[in-house]
Amino acid sequence: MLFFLLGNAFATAEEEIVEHIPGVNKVNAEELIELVGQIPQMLIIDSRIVSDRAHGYIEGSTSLPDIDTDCGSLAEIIPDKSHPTLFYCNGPKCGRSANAVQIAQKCGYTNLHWFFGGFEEWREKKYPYIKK
Amino acid sequence: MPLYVSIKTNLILTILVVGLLGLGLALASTSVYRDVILDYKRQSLVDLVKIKTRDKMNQLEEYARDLGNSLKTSTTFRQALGNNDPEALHDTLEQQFHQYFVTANILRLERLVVFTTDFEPLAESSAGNTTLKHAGSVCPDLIEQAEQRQGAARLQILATLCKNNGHPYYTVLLPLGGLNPNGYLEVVTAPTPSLSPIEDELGMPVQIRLPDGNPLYRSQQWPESRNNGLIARYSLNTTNRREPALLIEVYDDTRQMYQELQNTRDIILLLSAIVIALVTAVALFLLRRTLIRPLQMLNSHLQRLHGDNKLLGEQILSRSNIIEVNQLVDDFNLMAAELHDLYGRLERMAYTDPLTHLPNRGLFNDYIDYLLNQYSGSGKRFALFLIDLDDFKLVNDEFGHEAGDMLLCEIALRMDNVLRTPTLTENQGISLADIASHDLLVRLGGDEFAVVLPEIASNEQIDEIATKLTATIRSPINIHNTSLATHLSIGITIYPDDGNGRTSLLHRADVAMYHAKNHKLDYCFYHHEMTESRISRR
Repeated sequence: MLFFLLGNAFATAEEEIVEHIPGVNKVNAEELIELVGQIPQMLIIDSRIVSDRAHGYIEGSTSLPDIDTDCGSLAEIIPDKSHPTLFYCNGPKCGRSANAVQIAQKCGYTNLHWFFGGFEEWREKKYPYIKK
Repeated sequence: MPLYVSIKTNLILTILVVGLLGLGLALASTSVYRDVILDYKRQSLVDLVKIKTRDKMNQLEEYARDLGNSLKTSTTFRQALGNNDPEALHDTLEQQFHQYFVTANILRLERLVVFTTDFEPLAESSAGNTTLKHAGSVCPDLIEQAEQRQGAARLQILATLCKNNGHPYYTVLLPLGGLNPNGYLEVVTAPTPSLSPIEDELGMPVQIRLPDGNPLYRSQQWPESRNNGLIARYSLNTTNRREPALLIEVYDDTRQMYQELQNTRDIILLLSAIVIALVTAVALFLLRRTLIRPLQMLNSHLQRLHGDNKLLGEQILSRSNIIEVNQLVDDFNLMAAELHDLYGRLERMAYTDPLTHLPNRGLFNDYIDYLLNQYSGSGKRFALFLIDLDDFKLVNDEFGHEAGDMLLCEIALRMDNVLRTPTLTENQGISLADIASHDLLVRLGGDEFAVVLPEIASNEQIDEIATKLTATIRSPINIHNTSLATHLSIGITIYPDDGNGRTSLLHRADVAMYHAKNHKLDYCFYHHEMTESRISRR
């Protein structure tokens, strides 16, 4: 019984890393930069909590932690449902951006992009970030 | 000239030589180990300095990036850049030299340059005391590399260590204006002040100098003489051209290490000396038990033999644990037995008359001397008979020498049988000790015999034996079926009455014997007036 529970617990932990979200454009750092170059009005949402953001963030991004993300808060930031919007958090294990993207999907947003590698990939690849 | 040494000396010398060789090897190996340890230590220090240097350079990049970030987020700077205003930009850049990073000595800022997106210099500012002599980019290679980038790569932060006018500079190139760069900022720093804290982290004096030897930084503790330590040198190369930009040296005082090595070596040497001493003691102990003592015993036995031939047949009974020593003892015993036998035979041959097998004149003389020595001052007496066979020459002439010899043998046998203790026993080894206190009959030569009678209690005893002697000869002797009658003449002297020396006793016995012969007497005692007054008994 204990093994069963433990097994389930691990299975759950592994399942938390979401790698693909249907209907969402998953990008890496370079694709993000290309995308912003092509779509200057791209809205970048930082789904991390405020204390994480203090370590540095992508210039031009807007802070909206996933725990605060709902249809209402999204509507305040995103002008319309088809506006190009990109979510990111700390990295693949973070889960906050995936969570926020799925909430946005449920709220009916259609032009969604997801930077799966997050801030970890951004910093490793030596792209500039702001730290305050 | 050959050198003769004892087994003991040999062994001690051998162990000493081996010990000295071991000592030499220990000293030599200590020197080798010390060099190896020094090499390892130097290499470890170089690796350590390399790691520390990398950390410091990463930290410097981080600080330069932070400085760039703080600059590009300032509204004044953004406005100046947005307005493409070189003067305003220059003023903003100038202010950076009074910011926290610089004033708190976190980094040594040398120059700030703002470029357009085409990498044309837009504005720049340098520190007042900078070593830079020419305006513009400090690391042209970096700008060249940045220009060649395409796409997203144009947004990456570049960092490089380069040389300008022989001096090293660490330069970070940051994009300005968010994800769509509208310019670039080159942050030029001097790496030496960022590297010098290595001395505190390693706890060792540090010297940083240019490849040409010109020092840029030197710890206060940097020694004037380097004889007491080692220097580990790490060469920090430029990023692109891989040529030496800085030499970072640390000094490690090796005196303590040497002292510990010395102590360890001393302990090892002391232990070795103790082990050698123990081995020597054990080896000597074993050698003494197994070899030296048996050999000494053999030697002492030989010394004893040298003084007394009687001990020749004596066997050595002690045994050793060494097979060869036992073999030597066995061989010695065998040889001693053979020598004893041979010596006995030689002695017999020397003391025995070959015809009658009686003792000869040699033994007679020795026996008289022996008795003279033994009896001197003791009050004891012995008698000396000098016996001559009358008319023996006639027997030889008439019946031949063979008959004469047979007659002599028969007479010898008869006379011997008359004595209190017969001389002709089993013809065993004749020695003075064997015949001491025995009556002795000897053949002096030809038809002349002698008898020695030791421990004479009275003259009657002498009379009795003399009478028996003449009586036993008087019976006819049968030789080749011919009966021969012979007669003895006996001259008698008595020690110490008639003389104190062998010669005088013999001479006087001879006088007495001729006196008997001339007077047809059987025997005659010597008397000092014998030539004038003849005493005889029949």
